[in-house]
Amino acid sequence: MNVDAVQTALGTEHAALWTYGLVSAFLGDQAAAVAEGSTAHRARRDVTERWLRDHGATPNPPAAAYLPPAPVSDGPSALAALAAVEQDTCAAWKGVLERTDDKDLRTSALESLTAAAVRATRWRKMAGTNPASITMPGVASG
Amino acid sequence: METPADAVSAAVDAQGISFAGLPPRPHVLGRGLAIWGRVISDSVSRRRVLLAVAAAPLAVACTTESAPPPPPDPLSALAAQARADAALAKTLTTPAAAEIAKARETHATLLQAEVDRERPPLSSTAPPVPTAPPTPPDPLAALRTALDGAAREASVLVPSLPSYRAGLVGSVAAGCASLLEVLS
Repeated sequence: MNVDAVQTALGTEHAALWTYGLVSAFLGDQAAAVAEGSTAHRARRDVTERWLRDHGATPNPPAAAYLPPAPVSDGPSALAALAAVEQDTCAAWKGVLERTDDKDLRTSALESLTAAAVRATRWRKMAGTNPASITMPGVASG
Repeated sequence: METPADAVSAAVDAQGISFAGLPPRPHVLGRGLAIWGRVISDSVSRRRVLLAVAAAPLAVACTTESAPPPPPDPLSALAAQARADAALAKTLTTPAAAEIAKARETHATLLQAEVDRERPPLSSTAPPVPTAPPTPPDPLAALRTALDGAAREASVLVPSLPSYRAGLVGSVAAGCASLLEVLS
């Protein structure tokens, strides 16, 4: 059901916003890029909540806290957490693409998927991950 | 003395029409009638067979004429473009180009697999071999332009595709955007 897929995507947007807030203390030299990512996720969250309300669903609220895949204690771990949450976002929006025939929702989900893939690549590149690119964003092995 | 019925019976038996496993027919009155009935039904079925055989090419001709060739699979063009991008990236020697070549080869494989899944290729049609393109004066700029075009073309397709294909093509579009970010 596409409402469930959109709720899942909203959940990753909440998690991404929370993570950008968490890492900002460790990435002072990347403040502009962090702010840009944060703003993009906030805008996406708002659009997604609006879509859910328009479709008669109650948007799921954010959790009190999220657990990054590894503890964030310095610059490199902060970059890893950002790359991870952006890749989770890719997977959630790809899930929406596969569960809806609504053209507008598809377009919006593809924009979210692409933007998250580009940000994930940026953070991976900064962290020196090889390869920095993600061949198939949103695919578990990608 | 041999009756006409006996002659027919012999002819029928000689043609191997009698049913295997049936007990031998008893010599009783009315047997001739029974045999004529079988001969008639046999000749009717033979006529039907002949008619069917004669009509078969006609039926084939009608079927092939009425079904127009299906339009080319839109994913086929995306796969061809991915192969071309991989070939172009291979002309460069930077690590980023090697990464792009590998990623675009993966895209080509996944897209071609989906094309072949929906429309299995005829065994006689060889998989298209990427023709070596002339090396452009600025291969890096050409690669950037190609990736940008690939992301755009895949994105344009996404809203109209069946949902099981939308995820694949959307992921390829996002993958091209990711590769562009590596080049930037």
